[in-house]
Amino acid sequence: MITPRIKKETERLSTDPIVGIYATPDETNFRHFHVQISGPADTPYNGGLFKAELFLPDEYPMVPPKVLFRTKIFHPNIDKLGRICLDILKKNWSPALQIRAVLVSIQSLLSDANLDDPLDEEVAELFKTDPEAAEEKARQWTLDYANE
Amino acid sequence: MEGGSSMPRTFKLYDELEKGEKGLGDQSVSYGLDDPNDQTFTNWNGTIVGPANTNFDSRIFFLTIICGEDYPNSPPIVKFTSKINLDCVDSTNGNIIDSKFDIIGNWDSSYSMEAVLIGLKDKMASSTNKSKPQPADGEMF
Repeated sequence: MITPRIKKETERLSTDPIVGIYATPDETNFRHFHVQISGPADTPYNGGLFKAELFLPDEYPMVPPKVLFRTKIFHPNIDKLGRICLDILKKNWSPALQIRAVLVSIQSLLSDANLDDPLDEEVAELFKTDPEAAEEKARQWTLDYANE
Repeated sequence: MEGGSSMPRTFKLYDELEKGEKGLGDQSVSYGLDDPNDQTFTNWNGTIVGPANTNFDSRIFFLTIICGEDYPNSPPIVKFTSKINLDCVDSTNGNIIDSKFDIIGNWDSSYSMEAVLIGLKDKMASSTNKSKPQPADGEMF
């Protein structure tokens, strides 16, 4: 059975959507969301639509949601398998946070990468040493993989 | 609706990947993504170290595992690439004979790639198989 908390959060995602983020629950599993995040303006991801999946474990909200990018993205805090390095998905999770907060944080991560805590060292290194080349590559990947 | 607690494919495979990478499970089997950047989590490879006191002893058997779109609702497609003489394996191509291997034949979505590999290792140790003559070590299909 769907919990009141998940029901409420799901309803709010559709009645009061977040700008640039589409999150829809799976038809067969209310804990599973299909997410699309549009690349923020003024970033190399602008114009791209990035797919992600979000899953609420049985213990949610005592444990954070699990989120994986499903579209390839050239970003220092997201690796080639779609894993995301974001504090609130790990040690800084609090049950007071919601799916909404997670999605908004991921969207902000696209605007403000955290180069001090990279998941993909090589990508982070390029952003540090040659930001122009890194942004060009991120733009190219956006065109190649997130252009639907 | 399956009570909402069944794990979607992506997250189930992701958990399996992490468990495999950390080597948390049975030490005599291992598995990982064929291409470490395969975001679709489809093509895997596995190994089984043959159990002691059998004709499989100390040999490493290689397998390929394909987790399709329907995994874990449908079982993975598992195939030995090392030649092997085992009652549940087609000796001409290394394919698993589903009807002779319960874990695949009676698949349940809570099973895992590790469960398949351990199941096959147990098969090697079974009285039916443990004394079967084996192809030369290292021969591949």
